[in-house]
Amino acid sequence: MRYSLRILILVVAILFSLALTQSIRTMVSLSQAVVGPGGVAVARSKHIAVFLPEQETLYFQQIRTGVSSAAGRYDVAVSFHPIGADSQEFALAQYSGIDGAIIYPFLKDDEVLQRLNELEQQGIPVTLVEQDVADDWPWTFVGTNNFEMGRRIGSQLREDPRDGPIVVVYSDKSPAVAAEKELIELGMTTVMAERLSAPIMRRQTGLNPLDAEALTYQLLRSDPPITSLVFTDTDDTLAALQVIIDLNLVGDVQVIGFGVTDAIMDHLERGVLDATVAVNPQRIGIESVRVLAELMRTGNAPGYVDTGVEVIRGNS
Amino acid sequence: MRMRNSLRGQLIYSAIIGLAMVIASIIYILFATVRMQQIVNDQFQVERDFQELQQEVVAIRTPLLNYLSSRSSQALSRLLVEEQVLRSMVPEGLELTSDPVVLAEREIYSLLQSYLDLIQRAIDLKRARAIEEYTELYDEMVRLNDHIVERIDRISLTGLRGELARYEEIIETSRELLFWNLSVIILAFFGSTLWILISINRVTDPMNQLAAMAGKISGGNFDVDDIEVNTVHEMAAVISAFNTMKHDIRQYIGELNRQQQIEQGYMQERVRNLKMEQLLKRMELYTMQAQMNPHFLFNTLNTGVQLAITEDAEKTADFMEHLAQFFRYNMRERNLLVPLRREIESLEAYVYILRIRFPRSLDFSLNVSEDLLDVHTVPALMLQPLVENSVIHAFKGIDRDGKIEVSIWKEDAIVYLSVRDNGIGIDPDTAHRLLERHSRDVDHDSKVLGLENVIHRLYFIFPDQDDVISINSEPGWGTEILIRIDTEVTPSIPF
Repeated sequence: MRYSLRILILVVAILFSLALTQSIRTMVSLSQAVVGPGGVAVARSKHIAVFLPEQETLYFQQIRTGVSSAAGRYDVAVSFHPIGADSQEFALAQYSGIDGAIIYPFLKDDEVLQRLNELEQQGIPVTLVEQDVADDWPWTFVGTNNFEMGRRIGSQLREDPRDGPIVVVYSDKSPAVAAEKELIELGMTTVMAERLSAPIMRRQTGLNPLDAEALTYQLLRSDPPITSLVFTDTDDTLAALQVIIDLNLVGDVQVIGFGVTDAIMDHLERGVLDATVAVNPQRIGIESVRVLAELMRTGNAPGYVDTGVEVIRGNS
Repeated sequence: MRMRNSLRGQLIYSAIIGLAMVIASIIYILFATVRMQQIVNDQFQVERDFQELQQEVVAIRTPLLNYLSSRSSQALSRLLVEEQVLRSMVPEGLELTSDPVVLAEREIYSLLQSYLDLIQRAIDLKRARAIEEYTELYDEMVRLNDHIVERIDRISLTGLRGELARYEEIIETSRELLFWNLSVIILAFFGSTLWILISINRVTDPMNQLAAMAGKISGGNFDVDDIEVNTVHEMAAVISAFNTMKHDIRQYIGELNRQQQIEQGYMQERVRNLKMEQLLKRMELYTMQAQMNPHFLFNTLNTGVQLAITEDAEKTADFMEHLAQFFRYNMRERNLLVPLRREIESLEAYVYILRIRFPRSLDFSLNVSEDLLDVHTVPALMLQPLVENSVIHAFKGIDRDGKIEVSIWKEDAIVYLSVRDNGIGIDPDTAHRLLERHSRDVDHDSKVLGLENVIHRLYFIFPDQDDVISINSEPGWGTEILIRIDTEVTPSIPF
């Protein structure tokens, strides 16, 4: 009886300890749950703000990925901010205590220049990405050479010439490309020259990812029929390809897409897509951080960093 | 320690331990509940802080506008008060980390700091009456103020969204915490109850053992083991007293048993003495019967001796003289212990008579040291009956010459008297029966009356000496009857 009681009290003591331990552990867990998972915060020496358009396209996601991956390497803390007519963040960036700014200048040039000058006056170094501004001051630039992009697109079109008109579809989803339409078309014209059977046609899509679908329907039913389509945004490319497949026009229409996502590469491999323009937004993000970090550290940096452009051909 | 082992101490101790466990558990539950409330409170503390900051940021707009539009000292003082309030809300040394939330907070405070600097600048411009500049600056400050409010809204919204996302997890964790806390208090209560039960058992177990032992003792079993338990002082004292009582009773009963045994021995001794007196009376009767007319016998024998001398029959005279000597010793000796010399002389007279009777068939030898004869006394009439026993019984049915050897010697304090013959021997059962020590009447029908008489007389005289006489006999080899007389032992019968 006595030994049974002792064994029982031992069991109760063990259970009590277990319950107490679990209770304390749960309380700690509750504290952590309130604090939130969060990553491990690492102290950084500089704060840079990255101003990108608000649209959540794959292109900008990859730029963000590149910036974030490079932040640790260059000991900078990065905050992302929207840039656009509706956002005051870029306009008031000079007051935000940042040490540097990476800007995708998705605004009118005069407004951008005003803000850039304000930042410059506050001693905040700036790096522009993908889209340059027309100014005498050599703002540091990291991105794709759109003239070169046009040349490479032109080279692809020249190798497989069609009789019909060529349509380049620009998009608000790729504002940097859309902002330099002339440069792209100049590059295309430079390569194709007399082989252009008709002037290059321009079309524009908005931020709606389905815009390109309706536009492609419209273009393929036009007279004379369109034989070559060039897209400057990945989402537009995918939407257009679906229309071409639905209309059973694969092979009849030459399509040059934009981006190197899995879906794009899959279409390329199956011959639905003739070629795709491969820019490297992730590298743009990495290089922009590197250039800005150098600018903050030394006060000097390369004025222009070309992150390169390639046209990948189908079945090549 | 002593207090703890006392009954009172044990009760107090167990009660305190039990209550302490429950109270500690309740305190812990209280602490856990408060902590849980604090955790939930902390969950929204940042949002509340930002809410307060936002209110202050909004609140400073009016005094700023009032001052810039009126330039009154009252408006200025209010503006400065509000500005100080806001400035006090800006933490010093804002850390710079990779955490986006911390970065957002840092930006908000940097914007606020810039806004406060612009207020100072606006005051300076107002004082300098630079109307165009401060009007333009005011526009910028309004935008900045709106932006700060909007950023605070955004970070609060982000925080609230995060809290809402974690709300379910927090509720689930809270339920789990409540369950474990409930388990803690139930187990604490259960544990304290068990503890008290064990403490009670420390008292009741020995009592049960005491009751069981008392039952055994009441049944007459005093050989039960002592109770050995670790219990409180009071019970230990009771148990110790009980064990002592058991020992004392057992000792008392043992003493009673010993006294009873002594009384039984005393009674047996008395019976034996009575029997011995009876035997002595009988022996006296025998003696008296044998002395019916000793004077007539001795005178007759003397007349025979004188007659033989007169007739020159010397051998007859010699025989008659030895015969007279033998009867004189046998019939007239009243002492139970006699000098060894007299016993030997009587034996020699008897042997002389035997040799006359059995001149050829009996070989008798006597080995005794002259030194012993006058030093030691032996019971009277020991040797002659033994020799007579051998002569009568030892040589029945055998053709060879009989041989009887009497030897007397001394080793240490023991005087040995040995009568040995080479006759037919005594069977073991008879020898064992003869040597039985228990009291019994003399068997008158016994064929070894003389031997039995000697044995019983020796037992009477030396009651505590078990080996006073022994019979060594083997069929065909003969018999030796050996008497051991311890000269250091006083005979039990006073003479």
